[in-house]
Amino acid sequence: MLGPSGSGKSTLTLCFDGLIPHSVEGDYAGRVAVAGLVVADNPVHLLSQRAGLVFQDPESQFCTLTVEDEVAFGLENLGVPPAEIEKAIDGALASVGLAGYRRRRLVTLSGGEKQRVALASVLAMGPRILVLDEPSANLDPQATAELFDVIRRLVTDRRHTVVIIEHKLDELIEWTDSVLALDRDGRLLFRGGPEEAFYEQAALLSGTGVWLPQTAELVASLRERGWRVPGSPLGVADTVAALKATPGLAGRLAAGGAALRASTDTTPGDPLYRIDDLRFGYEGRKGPSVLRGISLSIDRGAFVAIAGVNGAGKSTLAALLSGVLEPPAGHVFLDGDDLASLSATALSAKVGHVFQNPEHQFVAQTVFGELAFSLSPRAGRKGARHLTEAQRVLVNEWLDRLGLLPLAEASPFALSHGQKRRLSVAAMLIRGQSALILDEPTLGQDETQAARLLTMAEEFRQAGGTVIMITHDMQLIARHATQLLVLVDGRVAFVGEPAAFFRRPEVVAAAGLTVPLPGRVAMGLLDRDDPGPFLTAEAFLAALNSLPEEVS
Amino acid sequence: MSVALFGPAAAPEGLGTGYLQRRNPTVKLAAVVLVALALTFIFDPATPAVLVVLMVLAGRLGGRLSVPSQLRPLWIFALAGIAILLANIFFNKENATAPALASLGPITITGPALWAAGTLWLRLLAFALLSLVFVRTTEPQDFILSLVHQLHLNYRVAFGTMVGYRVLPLLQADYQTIRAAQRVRGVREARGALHLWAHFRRYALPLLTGSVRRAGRVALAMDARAFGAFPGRSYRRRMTVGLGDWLFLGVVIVVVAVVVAALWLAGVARFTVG
Repeated sequence: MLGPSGSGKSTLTLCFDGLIPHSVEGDYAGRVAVAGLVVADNPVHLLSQRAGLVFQDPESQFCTLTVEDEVAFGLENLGVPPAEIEKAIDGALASVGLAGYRRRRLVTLSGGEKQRVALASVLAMGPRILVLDEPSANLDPQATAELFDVIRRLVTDRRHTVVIIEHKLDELIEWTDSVLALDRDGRLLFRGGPEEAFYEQAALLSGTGVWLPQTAELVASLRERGWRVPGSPLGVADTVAALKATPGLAGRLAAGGAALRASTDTTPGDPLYRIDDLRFGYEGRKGPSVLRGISLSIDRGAFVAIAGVNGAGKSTLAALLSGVLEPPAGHVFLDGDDLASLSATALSAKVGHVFQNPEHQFVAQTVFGELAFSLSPRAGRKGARHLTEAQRVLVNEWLDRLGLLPLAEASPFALSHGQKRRLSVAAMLIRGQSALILDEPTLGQDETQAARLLTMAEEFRQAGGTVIMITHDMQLIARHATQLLVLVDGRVAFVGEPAAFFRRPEVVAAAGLTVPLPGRVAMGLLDRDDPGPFLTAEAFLAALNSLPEEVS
Repeated sequence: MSVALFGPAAAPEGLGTGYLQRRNPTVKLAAVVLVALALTFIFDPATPAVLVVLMVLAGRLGGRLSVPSQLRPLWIFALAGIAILLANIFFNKENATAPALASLGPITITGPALWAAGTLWLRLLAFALLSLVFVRTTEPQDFILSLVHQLHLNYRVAFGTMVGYRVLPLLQADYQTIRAAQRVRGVREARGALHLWAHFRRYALPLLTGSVRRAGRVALAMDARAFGAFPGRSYRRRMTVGLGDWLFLGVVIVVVAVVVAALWLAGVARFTVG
C-alpha cells in the first residue's frame, strides 16, 4: 500500500481489524468487510483473529515485559486454555525465527528482534491477514532484511495475505502481487499489478510523491535515452535479464565503466573536523565503550554519510561532534579548536544538529518564533521581541521558501510531519552554521518530502556548508555522499568514497549494509563480484554516454 | 524512536531465584506491611536498628542481594539523618531543657534530641530497606498477576498499571533526548527554583505530545489484542500461595515478635501507644 505521507494509509489499516470504527473516535461512513465479516458489526477481538496489525514502533505496542508473556497476551485475553497458549507461543516464535527467545526480557532485544516479537504476538492469534505499517522504519538494513525474510516466508507458504505499507519497495518488490496507492487527499489513486503500477502508471504515482522501485527508475531512464529494454522488470534478476536482452547495452556499459573509473577526483580538501582516536563510553572508563578509537577528518563542503547497524555508535559519534555529548579533551577538533574547550554557545553557533523527532527541538509557540529563536534567543516564545527588521525579513524569506508563510502564526506542533521536519532543519540552517548534522532525516518521508530536504542540504553545501548525515538509506548514500563513514561495533570499518566501499561486497555484508540496487543489477549484468561505479541510474547513463554513439 | 538515544540501553537482568524471589508477591507484601506496622508503633532506636540488620541478612541470604547493593541506594537517607538531627536540635522541646551532651557555640545537643533523631532516622532506614528488598526480589509481572489472583483486583486495572510501568523508562529517555535536542538549539537552562516554571513549560509540551501519542498507540495495540473484550481471561501462569509462603509469613511474625519482646524485657523498647 503506497501513498504520500498523510494520505491516510495508516488510518485505512485501522479499519482492517475494526479499531476504526470501534476504538477510534471519528466520522465513519461506508462499508468494510474483512474475510467475510462486516467490520462495523463485529467486535475487534473477533476481527483481530482474522486480520492482525503490526505497528511501526514495536515499543508502543508492547503490553508486557517478557517475550513469552507478550506473545501470550492476546490469547490470554481471548481466554484460550494455557496448554494451547504454550504451543502457540512456540509456533509463533519459530515462524519469526526467534525460537529460544521465550524467556528474554523485551528491553534486552534489538530493534529488529522487537519488531519480530511484535509480529509473533499478532501471529499467535491466528490471523490469515497480516497488516504491517512501515515495519522497517526504525530498522537498519540488516534487521530489515531479516524481517522481510520472515514476511516473505509467510507470503510464499500461501497461508497468509500480507498487506504492507512501506515507502521504499525495493526489497519487497519481487513478491508483491498487487499495489494499492492513495493520493494526498486520501482517495484511491491506483489499484493493480506492480508492473502496471511502476511502468504504465509510473508518472501518476511519482507525481503524488510515491517512491518508485529503483529498478523501474533505471529501466525508464534507459528507455528515455533510446535503449530498447524489453518487458517490465521489477526484481533484480528480472532486470538483469531484461538488460542482457537489450541490444548492445552490456558491452557499452562495461567499456564506459572503465572510462568513468579513470576520472576520480583526488584534490586534497580543507578539513573542518579532525577526529583523532576518539573513545567514548556512557559510564566512563569502567563501563562498556561505545566508540573504540575513531579517527578521521571531515572536509569543509563535504557530504558525509555515517552508516552502520543500530548500536554501532552512529548517534553517539554525531552527538560528540555537535557537543550534545561532551567529547574528551584533545580528540575532536573543529576548525583547529579542541571541541572540549569550546563553550556551548560558541559551538552551537558553528554546528547544528537536527534530531530524529522534530518535535523534540521546538522551543517556541509559533512557526515564526521557531526561526526567530535561532536568530535571537531573546525573541520570546512568539518571536516578536528583540528582533531587528533585517532578522524579521530573513525569517519571512525562509518561511516563504519553506512554503510556511501562511502558517507563520500556527503552532509548530500543528504542522504535518514533513513540514515539521523542514522547519527543524531550517531552524538550524538560518543561523548560518559551518556544519549541519542530521539524524536520519529521510526516515518515514515520502519521495517528494525527502527530495525537498535533500535539496535544502545540497543548497547549504553549495554555500560552503558541511553536511553530516546518519542514514540507513543506501540509495541516498550512493547519490549524495562524498564521504562515507561505516561504523562496526564502535570502530571505523570504512572511511572514504562510497563507491570504494561498495566495491567490496564482503565488507558491505560484514557491516550489515547492502549494495544499492542499481549496483546489484550491474553485478549481474556484467558478471562481476562488485558493482564498480554503477551505484545509481545516473552512473549507468554517464557510462553509456562516455563513448561516442555507435549503436544505431 | 523511543529508544534512549544518548545513554546506555537499560538491561535489567533477571532477579535470580533466591528464597525471597520464590515467595508469593502478595504474601511478601503482607509481611512487609506487618513489619512496617510494627515499626510505626515502636519508638526507640534499638528495635529498628536490630530489624535493619535482620533485613540486610534476609536480603543477603534469602534474596541473594549483596550487602553493598542493599546499602548503597540508602545514601540519600544517610543525608536525611543529618536533617532529622538538625530539626531535633532546633525544634525538640526537650533539647532546650535537658543537660547538653555537646555544644558548638549556641548549638547544643542533648540526650533526648539525639535519641529522638536516631529513632526517626533508623525507622526511616528500615522503611526504605523494606521497600528495597521487596522491589529487588519481586518481578513486576508476578506482582501484577498476584494482585489479580490473590487479591482479586480487576485485571484491566492491574494490566493497565503494568503498561504504565513499562512506559516510565521510555518517558525518562524522551526527557533526556528533548533536553539535549533543545540545548543544541541554543536553549540555556536556567537554574534555581524560580526557573522551574520556565523549565516545565519548555519540556512539558513535547513530552506531553509524545506521551499522549504513545498512550493512544498502546491503547489501540491492546484493543487489537482483545484486551478487555471479556470480563475474565485465561492465565498461562497462575500465582499460588503454598505452604512455604505461609511458613515465611509465620517466621517473619515470630521473628519480629521475638525481637520486640526481647528488647522490651531488656527495657530498651518503647511503644508510641499505651
